[in-house]
Amino acid sequence: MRRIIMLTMVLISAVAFANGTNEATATGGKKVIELTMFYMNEQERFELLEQAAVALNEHLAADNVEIKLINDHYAGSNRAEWRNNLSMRVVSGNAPELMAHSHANIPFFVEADYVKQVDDIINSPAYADAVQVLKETAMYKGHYYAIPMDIEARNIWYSKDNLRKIGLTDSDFDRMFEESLTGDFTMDDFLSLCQRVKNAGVSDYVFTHRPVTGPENPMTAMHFGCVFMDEKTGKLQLHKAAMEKNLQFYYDNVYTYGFTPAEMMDMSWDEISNVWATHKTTFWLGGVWNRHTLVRFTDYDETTSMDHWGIFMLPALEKGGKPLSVSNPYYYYISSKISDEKYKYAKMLFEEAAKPQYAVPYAIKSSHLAFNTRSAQDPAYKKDAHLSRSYHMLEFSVTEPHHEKFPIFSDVLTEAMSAVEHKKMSPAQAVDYMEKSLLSQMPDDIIILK
Amino acid sequence: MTFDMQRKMYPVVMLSPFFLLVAVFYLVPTILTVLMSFTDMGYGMKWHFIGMRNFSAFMNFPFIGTIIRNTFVYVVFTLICNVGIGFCIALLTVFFMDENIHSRIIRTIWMLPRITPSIVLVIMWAWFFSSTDYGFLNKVTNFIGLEQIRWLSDHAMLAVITANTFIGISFAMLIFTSAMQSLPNDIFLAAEVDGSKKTTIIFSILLPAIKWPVMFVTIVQTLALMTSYETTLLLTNGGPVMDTTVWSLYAYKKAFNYSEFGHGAALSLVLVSVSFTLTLLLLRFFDFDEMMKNTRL
Repeated sequence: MRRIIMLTMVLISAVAFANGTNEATATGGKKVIELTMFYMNEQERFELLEQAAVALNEHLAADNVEIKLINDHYAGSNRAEWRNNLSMRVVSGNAPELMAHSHANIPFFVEADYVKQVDDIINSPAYADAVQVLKETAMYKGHYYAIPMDIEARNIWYSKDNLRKIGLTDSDFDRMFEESLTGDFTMDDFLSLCQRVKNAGVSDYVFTHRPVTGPENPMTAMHFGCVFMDEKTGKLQLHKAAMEKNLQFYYDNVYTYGFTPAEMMDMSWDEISNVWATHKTTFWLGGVWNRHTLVRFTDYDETTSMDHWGIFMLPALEKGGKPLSVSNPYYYYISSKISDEKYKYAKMLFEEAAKPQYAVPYAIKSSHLAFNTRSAQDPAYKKDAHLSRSYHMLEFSVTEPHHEKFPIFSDVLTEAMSAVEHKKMSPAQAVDYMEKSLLSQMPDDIIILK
Repeated sequence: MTFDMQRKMYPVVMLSPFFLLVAVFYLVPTILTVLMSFTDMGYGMKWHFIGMRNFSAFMNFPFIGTIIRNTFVYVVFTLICNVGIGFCIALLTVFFMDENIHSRIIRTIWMLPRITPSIVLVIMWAWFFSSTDYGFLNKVTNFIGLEQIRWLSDHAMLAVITANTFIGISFAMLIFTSAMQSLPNDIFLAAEVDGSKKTTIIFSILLPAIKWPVMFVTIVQTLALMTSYETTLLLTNGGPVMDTTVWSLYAYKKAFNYSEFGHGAALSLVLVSVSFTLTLLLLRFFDFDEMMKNTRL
């Protein structure tokens, strides 16, 4: 009996050891480098890398090495849950070698020492032509921790079908986009256009926006002058006067002009997506990737959908001013627990994946923008009029600040917007509410500016 | 090993797997949660003891009063609806109706929310209460010429309580139904022969006879409601502003949305303590000690 128990324990230990090591293994004389990628949302993010691995393996065959990518797709849709799930894996010694997720995780990952510094990859020729804002965003405390994969911009979508009903033509649509870039199409022009739509009654709603927490909400606040992070101290900041202007904008849209429905923020994501995809609203504050939504909710494809909807940037507040866009790029991350050998091959893989032949099909399929100049110049990418044109918006793109407490800030901002649009508070009261809430939830991390 | 020792060890050996399971899945997590509540454990999963700072942080949270009031309203009203309506359905299908296909159909209909995935149910309720013209209730109000109502903002707590009521009724209904069915019919017949009215029979005979199940359902439902937040999260996400944020939802957001695990654990610890106190109060309310004594029947 004792022998059987001993033998069982030895076997269990051997199996556990074999599972735990997960180092490079030799199969038929070939060295197999297994890299597990943990990510959520679109599987194209993995497929892109998988295609790069196939091409790279052809070169590596001479060295008798093969990279094997393991698809570890997280089925949930809650970003915080994905992040917590990753944490559990790391703490339990099962850290995946690669991750793909939003830039917003950078402070979490770095402070928890989950990701490896990738200065050598970003400084390599393969990433030399990456969009500048992507490089800036990948940097945290003086080092790069994230590898660019995609980027988008945020803008105002409009229903061409509805605007045609009030006399606008295709040349007007082109002009609006161009002038929104130069600052000649201003917020006042936009509000006048909203008024024309309202007067003509061509849609149920005139202007709608994101009903839940997300980058569009801080975007308008930034546009009205909020700077969320104090660069000197690294603390978040609430600029009360600028925030009040921002909330006044939402208040006026509901109660002064009647452009936005008061129940706007009661809608679910699917509900509002359906509303704007079916022209029940004329203007929608969203992202370039929302073309994906149009394809999902209508019978149009990537090309024909753009015959019915168009975009321009969140317009400058005054003539000659600057428009604004907020990007929420996804990045690849490499685990800090990765062995040096695996890191060497991961680096080769990401350098391969930066080539347009992988990045462009992914960008087109997912309605994201090219993340480097080579991809933006690629004929297939240029042929996609929407993405090609939207690429210019990146010049005016910024990202949300990198701070572990920003998710709280962003939620409190959404609550304030909801309070204003539901007329539960005036814009000034909502700003006071934000101040109180932020001071109590992050007393050491917030600066209040009058 | 002597026979006497073997006899003493036997129950220990046989019960040890279950003790181990309880220790691993209940005892250890409880101890860890208590310890965690005194730390600043965040996303990095590192522990630094910070004393009572988590507790003072939420006590100083300016909207904690709103959260407590929301929790009270949510738990009390949902509980009354769950237990009350569950009792009424059981009464209708057992006491006022014979056991037949009709009574079974009625009970089956009320069971549907229990066997439907909660996400599907909440999506249905979200459409039902949608504040837009496209919502079911607003379609009805529009049809009869009334103004559109913003259910999920102006009456958000009502919507949350209603949705939870329909989901929770079946539990009370099932327990009360089986309790009522197990009562001997003779006592009701005897009461009727003595000229008792239906209301007298219900309140003076039936209700005291099912006091145990009523206590059980009330306590279990109270504890479940104190810790439940899923419907609220999916239907209103605690809003608008903080109008439907209950304690458990706030704890969930702190721990899992903001990765402030220490803070979330402290909030949960308070919730558990309050729930424990409430349970003792309810046991006292139902005169538990008296019920534990041998029946005189």
